Amino acid sequence: MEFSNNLEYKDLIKINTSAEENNRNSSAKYSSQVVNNFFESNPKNIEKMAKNFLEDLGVL
Amino acid sequence: MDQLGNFYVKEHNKNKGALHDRYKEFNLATKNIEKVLIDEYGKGLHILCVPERLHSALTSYFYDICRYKHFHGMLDKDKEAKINFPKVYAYTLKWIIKEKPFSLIINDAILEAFKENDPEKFKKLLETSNRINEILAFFWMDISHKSQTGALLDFNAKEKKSLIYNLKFRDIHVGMLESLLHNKIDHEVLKQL
Repeated sequence: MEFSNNLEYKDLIKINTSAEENNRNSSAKYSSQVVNNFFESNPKNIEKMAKNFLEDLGVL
Repeated sequence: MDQLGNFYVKEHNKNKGALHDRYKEFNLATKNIEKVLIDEYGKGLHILCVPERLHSALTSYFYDICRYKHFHGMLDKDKEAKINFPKVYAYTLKWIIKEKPFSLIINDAILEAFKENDPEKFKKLLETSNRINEILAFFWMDISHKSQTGALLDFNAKEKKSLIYNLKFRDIHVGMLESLLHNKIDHEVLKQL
């Protein structure tokens, strides 16, 4: 099989692997602890965000 | 027990803390939305949560993720492997919308009063009640993303309304939802984390 852009199969594997690694690196950060701390440390801020959110939806 | 069964048990034990934290996240998101609604419409309304349904939604989410990791052999390579943000959001939204654990309970007297005196607010209140699960799931996602990355998801008001409408009235495949959310995340911010 020939690739139009001169890439070989093993190069494509490398590209896929690096995309997967990037994906995992960025995903490894989700932490419920961070979310809960955020909720608890900024109550007024969250309330304001809830208000803006509902305003955007046309609820308020 | 087969390999997948063992895997579920291990994952379940590992995710107990995460499950508890996710409950807390939804509890806090719900309280905030409820407070703003009460400020706007008065004290005759509250959000009711059916805990069994919330439990079912959240455990189903973790089992979906478990199957996903098993299918891709992620845990064989990396015991702490985690999935990316759009998947966390898409799968959580999928199950919250499917199980519908939240209801907006509105006092009849308030509803009648709005119907008589303010038809516009009456209409908005009914619409909100109709879409409360979608609204709460979206708000949870927005706040989660803000807390993780410092930035909200890149939805404008029109897109938010449109997504909530589509979540309510259309069958959206979780892969499509994930793909949509992927485009709404600032990946440059993620790289810097």
